[in-house]
Amino acid sequence: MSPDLERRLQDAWEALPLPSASATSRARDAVLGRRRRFRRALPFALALALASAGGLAAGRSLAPAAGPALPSAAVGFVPAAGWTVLQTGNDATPQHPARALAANVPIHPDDEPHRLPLRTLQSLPRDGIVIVARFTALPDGSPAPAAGQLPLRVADARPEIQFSAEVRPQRPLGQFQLHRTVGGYRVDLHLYFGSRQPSAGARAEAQRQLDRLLVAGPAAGVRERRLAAVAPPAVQSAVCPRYAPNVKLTFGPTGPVYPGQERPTARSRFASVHTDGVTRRGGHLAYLRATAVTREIDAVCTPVRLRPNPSAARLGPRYVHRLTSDGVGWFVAPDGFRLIHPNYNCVVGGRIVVHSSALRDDRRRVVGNRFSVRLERTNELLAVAELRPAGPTWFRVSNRCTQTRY
Amino acid sequence: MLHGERDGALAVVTADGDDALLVEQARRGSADALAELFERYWPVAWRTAYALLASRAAADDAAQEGLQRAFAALGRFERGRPFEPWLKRIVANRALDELRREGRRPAAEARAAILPREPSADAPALAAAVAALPDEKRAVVVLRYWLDFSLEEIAAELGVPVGTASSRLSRALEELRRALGNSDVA
Repeated sequence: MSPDLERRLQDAWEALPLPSASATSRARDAVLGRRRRFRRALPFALALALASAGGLAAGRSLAPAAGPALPSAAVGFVPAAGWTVLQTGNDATPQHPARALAANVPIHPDDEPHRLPLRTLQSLPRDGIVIVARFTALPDGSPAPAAGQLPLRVADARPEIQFSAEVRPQRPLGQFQLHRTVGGYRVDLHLYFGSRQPSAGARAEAQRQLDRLLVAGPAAGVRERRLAAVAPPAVQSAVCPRYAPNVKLTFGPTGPVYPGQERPTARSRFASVHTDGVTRRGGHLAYLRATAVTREIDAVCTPVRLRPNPSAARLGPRYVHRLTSDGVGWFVAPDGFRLIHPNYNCVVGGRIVVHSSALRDDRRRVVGNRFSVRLERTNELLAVAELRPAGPTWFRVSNRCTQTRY
Repeated sequence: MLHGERDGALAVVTADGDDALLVEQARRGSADALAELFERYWPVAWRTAYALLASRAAADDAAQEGLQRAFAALGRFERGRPFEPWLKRIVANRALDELRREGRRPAAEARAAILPREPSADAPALAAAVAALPDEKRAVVVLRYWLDFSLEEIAAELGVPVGTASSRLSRALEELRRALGNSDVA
C-alpha cells in the first residue's frame, strides 16, 4: 500500500456524489416527519403578489406579544473590497449561534458558513486569509471567555492546532484562535493563514478585516451605525451563475407537491414561476398561489440598493447590502400553519445563504420577521416560515444575499 | 486517518460542542435541533451509504433509514463523543445489511453516477474505481479509508477473520492499482 494511494483514496471521498434534491426532500419528510409540518389542519387562504421583479419571501415571526421584534443583533463582517463574506444571517442565540466567514480569496462553493470552510482552506495560497467567526448570545450566568472590545486584535490570537490535527498537513496553515465576550455575545474566532508563519503584512490585512467585525445588539447601535456608514452601499459587481429553476411547494403531511411552471416573461432578464395548488386535508381546503420571479440564467447580478420604505427602514443599516427583491402581499393564516416556499435570489457559487427580512403591518403594530434559507444546488426549497395568527395583513418583504464579492 | 483528522477539526470548529448541544436539544424534543442535525448530516449519511452500495437508489433508502435509526437512538448517544463517526457507523451498518441481503451491484451505474466535480482532480476516477469494485472488496476499502474502521473492526463488522479482511483489502487495493494503471498510482 503506497502512502500516495492511501492519501488519494482518502481524498476521493470528496468526489463522491451528493444526494439529489428529491432524495433529500423525501428523507427530510421521512426523518423529520410531522415535526416539520403544520400541526393543525385549518382552512387558510394565502395569496402573495409580488410588486416588483424580485423574489418572494415570508418570515418566521419573531415577534413578542408587544412591540416590534427586530433583529436582536447584527453580527458578522462588514464586506470590503477584496474580501468575500459568507454568513448565516440568523440571530446569535445560545441554541443557534450565528456564523460568518471572511476570506481574501473566493470561498469555495461547497463551503458553508456554519462549517469549517475546508475546501477553501485546502487550496489557500500563501497570502490567503480565512477568518471563521461564531457568535453566541450568552445567557446570564453562563461561563464566558474574557471580555473584549472591538476591534478584536489579531495579536491576541493564540496558535492552535485542534486535536493535534492540522487542516492541511501537507502545507501547514497558520492556525490561530481568539475567544472573547463582546456585548453579551461569545465571539469565537479562528484565523487561518496560508503559511504557518504569517507575515506582518498578512497579519495586518487580517487585522483590517477584524476591524470590520460587527457585534452590535440593539443597545449597541452606535457602532453598528458607524460601521454601516463606512460600508460600501452596493455591490459593484457580482455574477449570478447558472440558475436552473426548480420550484416546489410542499405543504401538509399528505399534501401534494406542485412543480413550478416556468413561463418566460416579456422581460429579457427574468423568468416567472407561477405555482397554484389546492389540497384537502382533514376536510379542510387549502389553497396556495405563489408567484416568483427568477433571474435569467447566467445573468449578471446588477447592483441594487436597498429601497427605503417606512417599514424596512426600521431594520436600520445592515452590513448585508445587496437587495435582490422586494414585494408586497397579504395573507390570512391560522395558527400553526407553516408555509414552505421557494426562494432563490442571488445564486452565488451554487450554495448560498439568503437572509430575508419582512415587516408586517397589520394596522395595529409593525412586526419584524426574519429568517434564513439555504439554497442548495438545485435551488429546491428552502424555507419554512411559521406564521402566527393574523388578520389580512400586508407584507413588505426584502430578500438579501449574504454573500458578496467585489 | 487524514479524514478523521479533518473531521475532528471540523467538528471542533463548527462548534466547541455545537453538535453536542444540538444533540442534547434534540434529545429534549427540539424539532429545530433535529432539523439542523438533518441538514448538517444528511449529505454525510448519504455519501456513506452510497460509498458502500454504489447505487443512488439504494443509498437513498439506506441513508434515510440509517438517519432514522440514529435519530431514534439519540438517547443512547454517548455524551462527549463526536456525532459524525457515530452516525456514519449506523448508516454503514444499514448499508452493509443491504449488501448482505442483495449481493448485487451494477458497476456501470456507479461509474456513471460519479461525475467529476473538479475536472482537474483524479479523485473522481479513483472514487469510480472504488465503486466498481465487487461488493466485498469495496466494503473493506470504504470501511478502512472512508469510514476509518480498523482492520479488527472491519473483520467484526463483516463477520470474517482479521486475516481475511486484511487479504481482501490487499486484493482490493491491487485491483484499484490495476484499474487506474500502475504508473498512475505507484
